Amino acid sequence: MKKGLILGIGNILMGDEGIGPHLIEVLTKTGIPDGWDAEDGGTGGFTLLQYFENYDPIIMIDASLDENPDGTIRLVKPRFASDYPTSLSAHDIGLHDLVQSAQLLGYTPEIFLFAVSVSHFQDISDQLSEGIEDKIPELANKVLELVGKLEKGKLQMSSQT
Amino acid sequence: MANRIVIDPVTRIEGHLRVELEVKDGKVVDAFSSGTMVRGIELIVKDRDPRDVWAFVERVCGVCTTVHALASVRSVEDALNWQIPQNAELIRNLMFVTQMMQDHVVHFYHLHALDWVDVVSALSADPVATSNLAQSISSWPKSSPGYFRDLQKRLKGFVDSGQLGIFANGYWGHKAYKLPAEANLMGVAHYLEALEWQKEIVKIHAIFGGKNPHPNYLVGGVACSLNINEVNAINAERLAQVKHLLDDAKVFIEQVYIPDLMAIASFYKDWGAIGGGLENYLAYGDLPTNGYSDVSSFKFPRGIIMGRNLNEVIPVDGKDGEQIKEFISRSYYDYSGGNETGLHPWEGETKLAYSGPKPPYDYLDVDKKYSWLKTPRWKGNPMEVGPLSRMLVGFASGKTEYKEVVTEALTKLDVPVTALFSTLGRTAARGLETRLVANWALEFYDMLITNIKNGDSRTVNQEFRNPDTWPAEAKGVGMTEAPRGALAHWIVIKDKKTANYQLVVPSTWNASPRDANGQRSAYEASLIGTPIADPENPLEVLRTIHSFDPCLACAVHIYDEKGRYVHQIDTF
Repeated sequence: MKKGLILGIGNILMGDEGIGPHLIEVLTKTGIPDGWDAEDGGTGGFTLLQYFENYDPIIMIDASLDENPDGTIRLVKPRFASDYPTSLSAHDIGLHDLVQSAQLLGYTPEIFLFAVSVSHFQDISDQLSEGIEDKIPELANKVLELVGKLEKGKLQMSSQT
Repeated sequence: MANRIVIDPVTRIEGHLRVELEVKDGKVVDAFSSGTMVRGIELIVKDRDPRDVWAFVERVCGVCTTVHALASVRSVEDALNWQIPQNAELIRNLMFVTQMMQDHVVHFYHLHALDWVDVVSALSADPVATSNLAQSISSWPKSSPGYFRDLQKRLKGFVDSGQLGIFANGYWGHKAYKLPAEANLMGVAHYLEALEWQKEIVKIHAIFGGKNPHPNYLVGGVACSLNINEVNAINAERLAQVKHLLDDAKVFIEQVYIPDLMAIASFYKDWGAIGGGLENYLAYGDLPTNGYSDVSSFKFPRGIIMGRNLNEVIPVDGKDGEQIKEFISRSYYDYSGGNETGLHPWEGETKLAYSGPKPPYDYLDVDKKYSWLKTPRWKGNPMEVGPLSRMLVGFASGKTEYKEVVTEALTKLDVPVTALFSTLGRTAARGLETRLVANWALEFYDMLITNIKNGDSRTVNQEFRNPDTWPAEAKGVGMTEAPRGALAHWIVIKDKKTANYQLVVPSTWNASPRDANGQRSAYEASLIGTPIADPENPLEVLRTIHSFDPCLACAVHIYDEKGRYVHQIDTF
């Protein structure tokens, strides 16, 4: 079994809303950490449930509609579905529904969510805006740092037992 | 007093979709359906390499991910007269049926069933009686009293924790729910089983298309190679996995979905006389068994039924400039030749011209333009598209297997043939075609295996790989049947680039605003006459809207005639 999954969510046709998939594309080029998988979750609805079954932990990246300035990167550790930030990803079957469904089925991977604040108004475009594009290296570093911490944590745990 | 009900849902296919209704004496007297967000995909793909367009259009939806890619590659192949090998056709068919089975099951259990099944009532069901009920309608093994007892306990825990979650937004306790508690518990159990099953069946997309949720397509064939001994190809092991998933799908559909559908329908026969709406039905057809150019070989036949006359199937031609046209007299666009004309999609224009009220607003100005959806018409007529249209065209084409499943269902429910033209008919048609599709899936699989055994492993035709072989200008149309209905993409290629691209999607046919002659499209027409027992909880409206599988999560707002805010319900 793989160590964990990095899952980018969003619609690449809606400008900055596509930050999740864009990041996965970058990470795929620069290198995924050993033993981890990276998936472009796109606008997938219940299709994504299989990842909740097969991976633990999962690091998600999604665009967020909130009061923060554009490009703000927050790491959230959602405990309940209601903890997920308001997302532009009005996925037909939203992240809330997805996580709740996973819980109902008894899949409870540890989930970390990088929420990137984006503007409410998105042009129809397959490009990121300059301000969000500039955040990609920082976001990639944060994701990789978290991967490092999680691996270390796991190592410590296993050395204790 | 006339109430105004506003349903303002959200969808990824076409952005937001909103319905405003006039309710008088407990019935819907008028309805206006509006797409409130623009879909600009046509603008994004302009000037791109036609062979890349599928990868963009595939992203317009997260639910029916593959259908737009299929329509797109077909439009390019049609423009260049690019034939694909039979294996490619079969693999596309297998991806098609996978999509349709998964999508229909998810629709029935997760987007529509809770309009009929009361989750809270399931908590008071007797597990033994539920077991008896389940065993009386199906041989599905998960039906013991212990199974339902455990399930009920899980559900109670979920509800008691205050995290009703995905079940939070129902109209629980509404008097229009008529199922006994045991049927409700069985429905909830299968809701969860369907959730498990659907994540398995879509693995077929990853096998043939490399990844999920947005698998790879390829103009000229499919993006995978067949070699039973090769590790990186579609090999014997992967094919066996496909077979296993298709076998499981057939069992699940026959032993869970169909018995549930019939059991639930038997309590709601009155819905066989509600929600009929339009009397014209359109299907482009799909699932070729002898090449896409041989329309007579399609499992889903192509054609049109006018005025519910099941004795005649009228041909439809996507290339005839006089047949399918899009109108914008009530849509937020401008046409260079005037807003009263209709344009065939090859001549289609996408010039955005919003003229509606500035948000936030209470009501749309329905006397003027009120939607981002254009209004498609066939020879000036509104058409319903979707499972019901496909089943009716198949039935009217005289195909035995259609007649069999339709007649069996009508007999079992003891309802007249006219019950097909209704909300219940639409929901039943979806299940019945899923049954057919589950059988065809195994036929396509066997055909593929036979080809491989005979030494034919071709999956791509490289004939037009070099764009220098293309004519300076070419036009094509790619038609398919999305789970929600007839879908087509029209492309104009000039100097190797996409010069014009237009999608006419199922929801455009069904959910569009009325035309210049005041003719309603399918959603609007189907809602007229719908009874509303409780304007605070317009469950009946959702039943009919959801019967079209509108692919949306929606919020219902209700206003009285002066625009006073009465109630808002978030619903799924």
